[in-house]
Amino acid sequence: MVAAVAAPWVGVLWLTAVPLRLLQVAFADRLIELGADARNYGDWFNELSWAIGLAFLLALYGRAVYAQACGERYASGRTPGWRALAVPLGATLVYFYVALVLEALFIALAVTGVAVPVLVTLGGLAAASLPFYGRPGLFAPLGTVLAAGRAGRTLIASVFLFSTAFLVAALNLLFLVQLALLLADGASGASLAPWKAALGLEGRAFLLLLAAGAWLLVEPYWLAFLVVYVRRLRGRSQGEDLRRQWAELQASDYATSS
Amino acid sequence: MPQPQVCANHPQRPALALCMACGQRFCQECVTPWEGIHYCAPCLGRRRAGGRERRRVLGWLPMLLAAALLFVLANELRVLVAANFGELF
Repeated sequence: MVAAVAAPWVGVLWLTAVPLRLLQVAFADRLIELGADARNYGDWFNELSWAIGLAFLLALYGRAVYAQACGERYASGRTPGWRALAVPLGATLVYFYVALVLEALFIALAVTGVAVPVLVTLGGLAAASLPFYGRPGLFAPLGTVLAAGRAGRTLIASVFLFSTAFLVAALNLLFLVQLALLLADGASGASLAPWKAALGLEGRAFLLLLAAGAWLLVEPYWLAFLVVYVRRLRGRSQGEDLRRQWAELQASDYATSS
Repeated sequence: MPQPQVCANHPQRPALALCMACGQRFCQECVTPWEGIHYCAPCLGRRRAGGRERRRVLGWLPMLLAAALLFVLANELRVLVAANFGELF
C-alpha cells in the first residue's frame, strides 16, 4: 500500500513533518547542551516552543492527508487523486483536538518513558480514525480513538515491530553517512576530521537528526498499518468484512461463469 | 354571516388549531404539538433544524476552545519541562 500511495502522498507526509522534526531536534539538542542552565534561556525556549506548536499543526495536516490517501487506497483499491489533499474540515478539526490532547499528555508524561509508546500509538490511531469521528465534543472523539485501541495485543506487537524497524532504519542511515564520509575522504584530499567528529556517534545533534530521519522513514509504514488496522477492526464490528467478502465471491463467481 | 374557518391545507376540513409560528389555521392532522405548542409541519421542521444547528454549534464550541487551550498548554508545558530539565534528569 505504501508503494501505491508513495507518490505523492509520502512526499506530502515528509514535507509537512520535516519542519517539526528539525525544530524538535534543535529544541532537544539545546536542552541537553544547556542542562540545568536551560532555565536561564526561557525566552529562547518559549519562541522555539511556539514554532514547534505551529509546525505540529502542519505535521498533523500531513498525517491527515496521508491517512486519508491510505484509507482510500485500502477501500477502493485505486490510487487516490489530488482530491485526497482536501481532508474534511470537520473531521480534521476533531483530529487536531484529539492530537493536541495527546501532545499535552506526551509532554507531561514523556519523562516516565512507559507513556511514550502508548501515546505515540494513540497519536497514530487518532490519524487513522479520521473518517470515523462522529459528533464533535470533548469526550466522544477521545472515545473513538480509545475504542480503536481495544485490540491491545496487535498494537503491542506493532510497537515492537516498528521499534525494531526504527532501530534498523537508524543503523542504515548511520552506515550510509559513514560510507559517504569514507568515499568523500578517499575522493578529496581535504581534511574531513571536523565532519567525522560531527557525523559520528559522539555528535549529539547528529544522533538526534539520525533518530528524526529514521522516524521519517518508518512513519509512512506505521501509519499505513494503523489505517488498515482501524478499518479492519471497524469492518469486523459492523459486518463490513462480510460485505467485502461477499462482493469478492460474487465477482469471482461472475468471472468463472462468463 | 361569518365564513367558517378552514384548514390552510385542506379547505374542505374545519380549522381546529392555530400554528403558533406562522399564525395559520389547520385541521388536527396538519398540526403537531411540540413542547406543548402547536406547529404546522414546515414551521416544526424549521424549529427542529434550528435546534439541531444550536446543538451542533454547542458541540463544536467547547471542543475548539479546549483545542486552543491545549495548544497554549502544550507550548507552556514544553517550556516548563525545559526550565526544569536539570532537576528531571
